[in-house]
Amino acid sequence: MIGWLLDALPLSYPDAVVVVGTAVVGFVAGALGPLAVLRQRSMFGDAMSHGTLAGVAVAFLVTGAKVPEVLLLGAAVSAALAAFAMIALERTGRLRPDAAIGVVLSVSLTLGIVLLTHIGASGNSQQAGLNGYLLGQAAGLVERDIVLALALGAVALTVVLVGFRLLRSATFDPGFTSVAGVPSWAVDAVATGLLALAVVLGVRTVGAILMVALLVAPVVAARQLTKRLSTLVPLSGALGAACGAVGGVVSGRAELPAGPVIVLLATVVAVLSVTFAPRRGIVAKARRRRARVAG
Amino acid sequence: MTTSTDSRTAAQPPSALSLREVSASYGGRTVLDGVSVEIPAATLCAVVGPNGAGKSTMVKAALGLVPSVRGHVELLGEPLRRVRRRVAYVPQQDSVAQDFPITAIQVVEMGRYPHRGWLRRLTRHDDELVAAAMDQVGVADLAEHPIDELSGGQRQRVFLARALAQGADLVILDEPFTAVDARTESALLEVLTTLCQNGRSVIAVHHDLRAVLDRFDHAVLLAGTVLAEGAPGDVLTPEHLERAYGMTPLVLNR
Repeated sequence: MIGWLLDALPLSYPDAVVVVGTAVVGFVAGALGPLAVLRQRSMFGDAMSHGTLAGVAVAFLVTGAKVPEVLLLGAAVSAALAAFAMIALERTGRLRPDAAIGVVLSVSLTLGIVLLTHIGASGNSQQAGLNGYLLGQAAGLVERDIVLALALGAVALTVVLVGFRLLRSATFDPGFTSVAGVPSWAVDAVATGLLALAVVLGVRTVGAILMVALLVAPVVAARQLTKRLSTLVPLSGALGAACGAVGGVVSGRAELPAGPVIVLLATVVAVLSVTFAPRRGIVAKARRRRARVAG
Repeated sequence: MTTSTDSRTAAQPPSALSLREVSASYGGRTVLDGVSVEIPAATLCAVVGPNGAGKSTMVKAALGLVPSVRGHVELLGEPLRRVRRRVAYVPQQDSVAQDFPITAIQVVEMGRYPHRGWLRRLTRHDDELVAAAMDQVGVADLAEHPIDELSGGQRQRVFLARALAQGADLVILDEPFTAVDARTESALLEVLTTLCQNGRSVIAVHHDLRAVLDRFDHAVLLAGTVLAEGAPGDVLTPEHLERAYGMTPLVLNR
C-alpha cells in the first residue's frame, strides 16, 4: 500500500520503514498536542499514556499473541479507562485535578509494570519485545504498523480539520461555545478521544513513560513561532514528524530505546525555539526590553 | 422595592432576564438560594454584591453554564435554547485561556459563528459586521495583534466587539471592568449605554458601586439571595448595603 513511498526514499528498506513510521507518529502527536497543551491538560495526557501499559499487557495475556492491532486496542481501552477514572475522581469533588491525575498515573503504571513483569517471568517465548512499550522501540516497526498509524492518524486529523473552528473556540473560551449550544462535556469527550488516539499510536515507538513529551514539546516549540492556531497545528505536527524520523533512525543505529532519543531531540528543538524565536523568544524579548530602556 | 412583581405587570416587551426561585450549588455548597429577579429589557443592569455573593454564578446559571441548577430561567422571554444566537456572553478574563494563539479579529469573528454555524465560511456581510464592531470600540487597528499581547483594556474592548458583531439582543458581561483602565471603562460604558438606547439589554456583574449609581438603569444586589432589585438609587441604600456587606462602603457616604 505504501511500498512505493518506502522504495522512493533513499534509504534501506528497514530504515525507510522506521523513518516513515516514526514520522507519522510524530506528526499525529505534534498536531494533536495542542489539545493537551492549550487546554492545560498535558498531565492528563501523561496519565492516559501511562495507562496504556496495563492495557497492552492484559491484551497480550488474553490473546497470548503479539498482534499489534490487538495490543493497540488494549492500550486504547485502558487509556480511556484512565481518563474516565480521572474525570470521575474530579467530578465527585473529593480530589483536586492534580491529585486525581497523580493517583491514576502511578496506579496504572504500577499495574502495567506488575503485569509486564509477570508476563516476562512466565517464559512465554512470544513476549519478547513487550518491554518496548515502556521506553519505546522503533526497530520492530513493520509496514502494517505504518498503514494502521496512517489510517487512524488520518481520521484524527480529519476530525481536527472539520471541527477546527469549534475546537479553537471551545479551547479559547469554553463559556462562549457552551452558550452557543455546544456543551463543554461534548468538546471534552472529543478532545480526550483524539488525545487517547495520539497516545495509543505513539506508545509503541516512544513508550508509555515518555509519550507525553512528544505531545508537548513540538507544541511548545511551535507556539513561539506563530500567533495563529491554524499555523501552530501543522507546524507542531511537522516538528514532531522531524523529531520522530531523526530520532527513530538514530536510536536504531545507536541501539538505544527510541523514546528517550526522540524526546531528547524534541526537547532540544523546544528549548532552541523558546530561546531564539524571532518575536516571542527570550533573546528577542530581552533585546526589545533593552531597546526600550535605552530609547 | 425588593419585589419584582410590580415591574412585571407594566412591562410590555419580555424581560431581558427572568429568574424564578433559582438555586445553584458548587461542590456541595449552596451559592444561590432561591433567587428571583426580573430584569427589564432595554436597560443597563448591574449585578452587585460582596465577594462570594454568587454574582458570577447567577449569570452563569442564567446561561446554562452551571451544572446543577434548579428553578426557572428565561432570557428575552424564552428558554435559553431558543435564543442562543441573540445572547452574547463576555466571560471573566481569567476563564479565557491565557497564552492562546489567536488574533483580535479572530476573537471578534467568533461572534458570527452562532449565526453561520461551526462549519460554514463567514460571508462578506459577516466580515463587514466584524469590521464595524471593531471600529465601534476602537480596536480596528489591533485586528492582527495576538490577543495575549494586548493590555487588559484592549482585550476587553475586543470581547465587547465580539458581542457587538454577534448583534445580540442581550449582552451578559461577567466583571468586564477588572484590570481595565478608567478611559476604557468609560468608553465601554458609553457603548453599552448606546446599545440599551437602541433597545438591547445589558447585564453586567460589577464591583464599582459608584459607577452603578451614576451610569446604570437597574441593579440587583445579591448576597446568596436577592437583597434588593430595582433602580440603583433604591437598591444601593445604606440599609441594604449594611445587610449585604456588613458595612456601608465609604464611596457611597455622600
